[in-house]
Amino acid sequence: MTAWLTGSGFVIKDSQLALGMVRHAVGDDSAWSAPDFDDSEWPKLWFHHTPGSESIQWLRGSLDLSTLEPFPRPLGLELGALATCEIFWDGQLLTPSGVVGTNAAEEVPGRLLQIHYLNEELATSESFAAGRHTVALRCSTHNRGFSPSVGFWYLRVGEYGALVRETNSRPWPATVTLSAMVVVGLFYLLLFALDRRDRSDLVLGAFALTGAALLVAESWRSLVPYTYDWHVVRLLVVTALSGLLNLLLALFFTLRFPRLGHRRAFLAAVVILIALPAVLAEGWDTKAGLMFLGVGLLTLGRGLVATIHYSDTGLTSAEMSTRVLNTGQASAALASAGVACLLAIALVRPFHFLDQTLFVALNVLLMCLLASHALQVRAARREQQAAEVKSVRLEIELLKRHIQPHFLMNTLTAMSEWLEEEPAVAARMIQALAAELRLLGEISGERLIPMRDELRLCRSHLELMSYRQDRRYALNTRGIVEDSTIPPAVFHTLVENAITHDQGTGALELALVARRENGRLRYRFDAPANGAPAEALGEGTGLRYVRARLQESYEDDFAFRYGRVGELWRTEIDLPGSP
Amino acid sequence: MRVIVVEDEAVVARRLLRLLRKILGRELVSLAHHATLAAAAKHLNRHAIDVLFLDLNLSGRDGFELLADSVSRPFQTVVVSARHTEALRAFEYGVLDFVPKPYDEERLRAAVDRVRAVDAPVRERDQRTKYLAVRKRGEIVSIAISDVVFVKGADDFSELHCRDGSVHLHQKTLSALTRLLPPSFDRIHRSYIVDMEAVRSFRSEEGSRTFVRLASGEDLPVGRSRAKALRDRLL
Repeated sequence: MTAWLTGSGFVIKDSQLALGMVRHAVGDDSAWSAPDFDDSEWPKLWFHHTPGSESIQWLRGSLDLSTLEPFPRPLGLELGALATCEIFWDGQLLTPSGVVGTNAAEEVPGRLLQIHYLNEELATSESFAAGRHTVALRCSTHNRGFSPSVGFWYLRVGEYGALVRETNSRPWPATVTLSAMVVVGLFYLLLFALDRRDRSDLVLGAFALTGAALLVAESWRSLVPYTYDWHVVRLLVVTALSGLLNLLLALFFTLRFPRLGHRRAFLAAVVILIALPAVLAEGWDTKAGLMFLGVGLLTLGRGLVATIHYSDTGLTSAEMSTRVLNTGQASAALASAGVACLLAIALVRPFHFLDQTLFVALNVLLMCLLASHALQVRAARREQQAAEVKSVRLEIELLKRHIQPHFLMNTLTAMSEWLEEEPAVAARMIQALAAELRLLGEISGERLIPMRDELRLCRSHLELMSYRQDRRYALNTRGIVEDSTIPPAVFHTLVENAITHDQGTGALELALVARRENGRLRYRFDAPANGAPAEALGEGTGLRYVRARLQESYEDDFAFRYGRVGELWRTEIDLPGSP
Repeated sequence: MRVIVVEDEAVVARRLLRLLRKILGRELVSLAHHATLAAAAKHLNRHAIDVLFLDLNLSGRDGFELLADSVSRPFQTVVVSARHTEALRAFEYGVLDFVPKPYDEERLRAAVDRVRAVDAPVRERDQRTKYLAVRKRGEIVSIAISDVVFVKGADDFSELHCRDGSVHLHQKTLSALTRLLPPSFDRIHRSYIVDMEAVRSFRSEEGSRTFVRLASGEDLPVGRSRAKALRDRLL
């Protein structure tokens, strides 16, 4: 547990020996380095419990190398300390790192980690190998930074090469995953930069890059040697990055699975679960570990709720098919599985969680999130394809309406009659038909057209029909903004329907009124209700076309109502205000 | 000739009426126009007519239900429609002719000629009719012609006798039906048309009375004037 709390996670092997109990004195005397100095009056303490001090302090201990089997050759000594230390091996000063001083200005901070080669002469002598040896440390700790309570002490001897290898290879598993995280991070940032629609892409990119940064910060101790005064700075960075990483993970879950609600409460809880251990927990690894534990559990909970919720109630949009629903579920389940892996790994190997297994866990999590994303991309692509197919179908439906025999052949028959009886009218009728077909060809492929074109289409149709029926048809308009847009042939379809169902004689007056109300654009279309009874006018092909076109352009943000109002058949279309 | 036109497009109807007046001239006894078949019903109940020129939007089931309604009646039906692809089906229902839109005077004249020929001796017959629509308690039922063994004339209507023994009343006269039935049907008597494929034997009795015996065992009389022609056809 000590290793977990102090972050000095290393393992003493059989061929190594660590400094345990030491004698401790505050003050300074060059005689205290001698192996035969009597330190029995000095208080004893565990080496790794050595406190910091305002002045120079000495630590003396002994190592019995005769217990080492086999005897390590060449012999090395490793010291890790949050202090500047001079090491006296049997009274001989080893090459110092930094300068021990009586105050912060005088002290030159030494390396956090030092590995010394104990020279050949000492290492090979018989007495050296067998005997008990004295280690005396002269230390100053004036540059520990803004967290003087932090302690970090260990000293061990062992085979020199093994000590160096161990230090060098410690960050290796974690750094292997570095490039994967950087690539994934950059990929998602690029994805967001190009598209800017899905903010969860941005968050996922930031998450991966923060994970990479945490990895670098965590491995820095072994990657780039530094003096002990930077240690607290590095630990602060590690803690801050851990907090950020957890926050981004939670944010990703709220953005990617948005339909759950309670987003603010969830994020507030996450911030508390990050802040509390950051402030209250003792020990740097404990702070970060508790963050991952708390936020991980909460996020897993949200992911599982998303999985269940998506299967229970489905997605709210009526457009989403069962397949998309299942994708939402699978996607949430995968993301949850990723978090579950992170938690499992943290709980199984807590001692090396932050500096080693965290990065394995992060990679598993990222893989799950990528798979989850792939599922959603596939679903979105299918949805888009379905929408495109639907658009084409609507276009064909509109065009077909005008080459279908009932429309075309009746028009041609009426034209024959005018041709034989009144050729001048026949000529005008041909012009009207040509105008309508021309306009139709121009607009049928569009998703939205200006009202100007829609009204032209309505009027050319009314003119053509007036020649067919030899009646006067009129469309009276009020309040229409000609530049506002509408899906093609929406009102044209209503006009057609009105003519089809009209059983009256004499002039037929239709009215289209537009007005703005509460930021919405409202259209009201009135036709005389003298035809078939209302119940017979169910949502036929024409009205289904109108609804499908509105859905295509406004999704669920529109209203489409019709019904009898007194002597009128009224259709109301309510659209978003801004075009 | 007594004619009624059902057409909801004003200018198209005007054309049809104008051309019919021109083609029929003095032959025209009466000419009425209504926008829908339902609107024409009242007229049909009060006035006997010879032919109905019916505009139908034959795109859905409704169109063919109206067509069945029309062909079950005593008069002949000529369909005038924009959907020429439905002509074959319309013939199966027993329409006399199918005039596709747009049409000219010549095509309409051909249709009128077919109407005129209904009462003349049958020279060539349509093989296209597959069903005969009959009215039963307000419903219209289609009888497959392949089920009909013989038709018996009864005043202004006809009895369709089927293989299963059932009998259905049709509002058309025996003469009007002759025009619609396939060539295997032969007029053997003033009151009988029989499917010759159902005839098993032929016998003459004392006093020159002649009968055909059907597969069902039923005997039908053969008219004196038709006995020789029938003997030639069978022997």
